[in-house]
Amino acid sequence: MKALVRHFFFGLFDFGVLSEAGSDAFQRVLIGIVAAMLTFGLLLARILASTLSRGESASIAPAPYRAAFETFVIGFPMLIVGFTTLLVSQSLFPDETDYRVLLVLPVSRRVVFLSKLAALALFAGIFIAAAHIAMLPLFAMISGGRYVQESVLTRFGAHMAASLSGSALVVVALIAINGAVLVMVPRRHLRAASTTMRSAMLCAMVLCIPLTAKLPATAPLLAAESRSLYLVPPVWFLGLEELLLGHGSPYFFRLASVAAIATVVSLLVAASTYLFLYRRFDRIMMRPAAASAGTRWWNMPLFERVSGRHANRAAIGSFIRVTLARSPLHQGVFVAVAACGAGVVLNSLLGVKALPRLRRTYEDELAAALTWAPFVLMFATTIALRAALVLPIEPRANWVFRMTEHDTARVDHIEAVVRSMIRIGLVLPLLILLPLQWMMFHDRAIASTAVMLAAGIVLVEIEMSDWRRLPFTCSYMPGKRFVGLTALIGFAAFVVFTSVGSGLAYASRFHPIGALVFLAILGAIVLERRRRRARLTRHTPLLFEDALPTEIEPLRLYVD
Amino acid sequence: MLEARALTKRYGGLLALDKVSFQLNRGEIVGYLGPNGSGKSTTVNIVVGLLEPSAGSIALDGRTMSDDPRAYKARIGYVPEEPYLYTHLTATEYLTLVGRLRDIPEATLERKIAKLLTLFQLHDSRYSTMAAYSKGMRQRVLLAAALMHNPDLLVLDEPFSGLDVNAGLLFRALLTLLAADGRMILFSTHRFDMVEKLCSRVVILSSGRLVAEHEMAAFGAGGSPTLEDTFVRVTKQPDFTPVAREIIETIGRS
Repeated sequence: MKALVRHFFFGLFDFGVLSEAGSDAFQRVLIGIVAAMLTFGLLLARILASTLSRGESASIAPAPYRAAFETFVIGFPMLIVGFTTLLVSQSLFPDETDYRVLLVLPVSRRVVFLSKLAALALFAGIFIAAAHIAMLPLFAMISGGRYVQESVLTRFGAHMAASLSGSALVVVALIAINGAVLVMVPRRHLRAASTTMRSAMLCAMVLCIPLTAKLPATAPLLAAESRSLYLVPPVWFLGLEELLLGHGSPYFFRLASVAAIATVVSLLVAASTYLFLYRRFDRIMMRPAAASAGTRWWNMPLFERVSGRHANRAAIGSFIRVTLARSPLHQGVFVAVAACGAGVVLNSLLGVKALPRLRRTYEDELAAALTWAPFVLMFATTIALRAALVLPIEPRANWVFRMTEHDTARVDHIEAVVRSMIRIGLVLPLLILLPLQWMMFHDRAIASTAVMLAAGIVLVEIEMSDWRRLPFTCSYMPGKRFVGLTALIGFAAFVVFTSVGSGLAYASRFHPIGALVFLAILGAIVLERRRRRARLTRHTPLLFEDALPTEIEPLRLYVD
Repeated sequence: MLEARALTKRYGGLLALDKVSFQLNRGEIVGYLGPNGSGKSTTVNIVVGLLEPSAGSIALDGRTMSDDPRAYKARIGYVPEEPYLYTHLTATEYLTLVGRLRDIPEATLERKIAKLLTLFQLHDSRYSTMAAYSKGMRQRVLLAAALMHNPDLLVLDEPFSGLDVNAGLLFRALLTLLAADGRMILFSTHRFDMVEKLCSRVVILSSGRLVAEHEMAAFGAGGSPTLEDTFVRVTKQPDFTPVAREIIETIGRS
């Protein structure tokens, strides 16, 4: 059983798209994530310490303010554990391969299921432990002081019990949702259903990041015993903690009851789906995916008809759309990164307030936030799409592209990728935000949106200037460049794009001639970059095997 | 005519192919035999343009791939050894992808796909993604994709693996007719029976070198050695009976 637990545990890290070297690198990246969590915990403690040293300690000393900070200390590990569980949600239950490979060996179904559960517990345990250790310095800081009545050990015990229960609820709830989908959805639609469900949860979780960051600001709501906090899971477990500490107000009792009910329900659903699968595994997992009897809208081919002139371009464009629609990994990466942008936008819109010192009204600030928002969203979605396109799907099937690659086709292929970036990465977010823009700026939104799109196309051209691969066809090796450097470059690009872009869009709203000038300049930049890209593409073969950058760059000083 | 001229391929220090030369004429099905690691797949990958030879060249009707890669690749159909394809696509979507990459006009492509799916008995599953397909069904999709652009040269790497009896018979009949139609077929396999039934000539490889090339008619006629005898002799296969005995000794007698 030990060997099987080990097998399943390492299987949780196997996404099926990484080469052997890539898998090793991915494990390094995961270790890096744990290290980053610990560093983040220390950083938060440092920020709080500096806040206290500036004489603002009074603001967190009374009970509701301390309690609000504790909700954050409970909520942050819940979020981390949620992300990691979602990351491995494809392996939460034994699958058909496990069944076919393991059950022909003298291994009972019971051992297979128990091993899977043990591996899952080990995996969740590592991340739960890391997230809680990361929060310890912060917890220590908010648990001290003259307002705290209990001993440190009592507080620690109650906090850990509540916080660990919160994190466990997240794991169990995700298992329950996955299990319910697995058991209830017909196999023909299972892949699409679980992909959509996973992406939706990922999106929701990313949008929870700014909301989690705002948990320390819930003190007034806690003091007022607001009913809206019944919708905030970390607050449920704050109720449990307070109850364990003997602060049994009816409000905390009700919150703790919600926590208990949620945990019991999730546990029951998760256990029943596991039990159901355990008993009827062959019927559930091996049920045939019946062939479609006829044409139905949900299984119509996603390869739409095109005019014959750009068949190669259409081939790649359709391939991108279908893969993003059906592959859980690619859709997940796209949704997760794009949702980060949505989270930033949400955060900025929620934080809009008048600044009387700067003579800025609420409307001024809202207009500024709405001008900035499309650039943030475009930046995030293009980065998200690029990240998704880099990841391979069935790398050994790429022979069909290698066999048909030639100079002319290559230009069309890369053009198709750039167009997909523009459609999905730029047009989509602009369309999402257009109603808001129209409500705020009326017909002036047209000029600024046109400038936004042009600036976005420049961004896409820059992002794709060294692009040498067909989407999803090249093996991938993560961590090729120092993460810090990548983050620094990304941050600098974000600041430049969003601030310069916002400036241009703002000016375009008031000066139509200016808007035309901006469009002309941006258009000229786009044309020049397209010309350069086409020339480079024609002479540079596509990349089908990712490789580490060579450390020594030859100077090639000889004469040919 | 396909002409391999002194094909050589080195992977670092390993010599995978050593000056292999052979010809494949129009209307011929040539069996390409060899034990594992003999260089069969390397040759196939070079012929279809997935690998560059370290030395030597491949020419199709006198023109090498470097002369005009686009024209060369357009004349080749390939069925790989394993059914590596994008299983998140449906058969229709996969064939559309391949057809567009091969610049087949849209109207022709649509008509061909519909017809080929019916003929290869895939029509009922046309809306299911290929993840739900059996190995044989995937193999049929690959053969349809290889034939769709009407290639002159068909390169088949173990095309019969995973096929059911009906599909196997259809494949055999199809290959015979394709050859009779003047196409060249390079048929890499481990199966002597298929080579004997289908091929007009056989090329045998061992340790990266061409060790035998014979007309099929030369085997077994008038007391001459069979294809299997010849293969065992030229590739220096050991007698496996002692190994088999040892395996039985190892697992224990009943």
